[in-house]
Amino acid sequence: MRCIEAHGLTKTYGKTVALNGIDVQIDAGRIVGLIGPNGAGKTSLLNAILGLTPCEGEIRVLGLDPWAERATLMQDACFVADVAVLPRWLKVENAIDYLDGVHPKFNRTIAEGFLAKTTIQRKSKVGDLSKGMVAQLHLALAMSIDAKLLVLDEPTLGLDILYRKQFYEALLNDYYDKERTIVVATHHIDEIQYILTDAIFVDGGRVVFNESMDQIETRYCELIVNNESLEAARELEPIHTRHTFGKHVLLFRDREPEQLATLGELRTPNLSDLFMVYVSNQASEVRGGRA
Amino acid sequence: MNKAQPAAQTKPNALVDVRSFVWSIRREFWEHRSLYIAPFAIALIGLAGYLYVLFNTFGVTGRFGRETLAMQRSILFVPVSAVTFAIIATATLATFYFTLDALFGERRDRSILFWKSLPLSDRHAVLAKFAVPMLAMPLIEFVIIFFTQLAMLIAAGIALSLSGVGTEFIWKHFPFAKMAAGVVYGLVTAALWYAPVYAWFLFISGWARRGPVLWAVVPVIAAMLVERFTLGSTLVYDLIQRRILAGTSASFTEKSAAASTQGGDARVVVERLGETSSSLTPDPAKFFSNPELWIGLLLAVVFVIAAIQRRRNRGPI
Repeated sequence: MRCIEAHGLTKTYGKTVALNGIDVQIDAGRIVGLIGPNGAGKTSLLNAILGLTPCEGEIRVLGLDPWAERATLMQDACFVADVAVLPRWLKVENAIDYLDGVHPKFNRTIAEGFLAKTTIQRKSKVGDLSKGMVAQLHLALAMSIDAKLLVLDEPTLGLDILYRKQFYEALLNDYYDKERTIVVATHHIDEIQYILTDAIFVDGGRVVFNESMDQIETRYCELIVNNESLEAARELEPIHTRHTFGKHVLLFRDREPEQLATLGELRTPNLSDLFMVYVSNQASEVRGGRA
Repeated sequence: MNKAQPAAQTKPNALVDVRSFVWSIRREFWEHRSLYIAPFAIALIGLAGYLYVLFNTFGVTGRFGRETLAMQRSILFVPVSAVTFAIIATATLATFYFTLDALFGERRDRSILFWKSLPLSDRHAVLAKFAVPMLAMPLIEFVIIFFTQLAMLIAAGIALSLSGVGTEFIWKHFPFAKMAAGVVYGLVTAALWYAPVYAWFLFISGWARRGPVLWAVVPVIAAMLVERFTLGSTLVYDLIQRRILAGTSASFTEKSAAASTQGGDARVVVERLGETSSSLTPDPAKFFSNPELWIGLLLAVVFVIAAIQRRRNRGPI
């Protein structure tokens, strides 16, 4: 089942193009990493998905038009922006009371269960909690909503490594059930790549890369060669070549591993390698186009 | 958990909406505690002042019995009216501040992203905020006023019986029913009269990128000045002046002239005050037949709709 479907999604702010004709489909049950440099259009895309901003083009989320039907959509979609959006004056117990009062799919018992595992006090105000605790609280509230789609925008920004790890562990162990869809926009590629099922790179308002993690494993491989085999490897048309520690690292797409293995050492590229390739390529192309 | 969902969805919509609406109004009071703390503090101060007056006139000097009836009524009842007005004035100021901050604060602290992650429309959010001055505050003010007056009269009763005058003085001279009805009527009509001001402030708080107080006030003052210096007229000034300062005279009729210092004698002024505060008579016919009320309400609707549109389009600042 399709969870998110967008065609030709375009958003401009004055002369700035935030989204430049985005086409993207996200199926239900996936954990998608939305990755891009600052100003790439990640937040604009999330805003379009969540009905926070009107866009040109077409977008359906859970079968609804987010801009026209945000309130209905939010019964089944949930959103955790960076750690600073819970109001500082809100008491923990009031947050639970309020969500229980207004959200038909919020489960108080689950929320209380999550909070019992933390050191967060019921009577505390958000403003008195540490950044990490606020993130724990917001995630606990979000995970207590029986939503079909959870959108996270830089949810661990500014948190230390301990809280970041806990955050994603909780998400995976206590929330994800293969039916829910999770979209995470973040800079911390290395930390989330093992929980993702799909990766989407956004740059210059466009989707420049969109593959499942399985596809990445089967379609992409990196070949590490020394100078002697370099020419032979280049003839196989790598999509990118870089030079590190006296070795050449060539990235191939859709090449038989057996064919490559004779030339050097093979390995599966990690997400940040691919990100560097796709996003920097695209960035120079986009910059060239504008100039 | 999944099985419970269809049940949640089949809840009748109207009921869910009313329930969420009440919660959304409650949450405004969690955020803006001054809405009830400020009038409550004024009530306590007024009560303390009243106890001091009673102690002074009954306990220390014992001069109450030697005063004229008009003066006795003034000593006992003018503070009740004065404290009532002070509570309403404080609550109104707190409400003005609230409406100027309601849609501004959530953008400034970015919490609008949290509120918008909930299944509540912008219409729901703005109407809940508008319900604070229109419904919740009149109710809160009434409760505070009711108990403050009750406490003051009980204190007066104790003072009277201790001094031997007897509590029947209160029953005889304090217009209980009239006072309570007058307070209810006054709070309701004031909310209606100030509705366009609240709605304008709410719109500005959702529209301004900074300084909502200035944006709310400066254009109005500018309009007054421009009119004064180009056309030489004071139409805008008169309209605003009637709206802000003449709320009471739009809804009440004063039977006798307001106390003035023309008599020259302070005692006369105090005695007359006693008469004036009990001579404010609700005049619903005058109030509801005033076209300015209805024009104001129409404007309030326009500003609220504009505020809803603004909130829909605006993110964090």
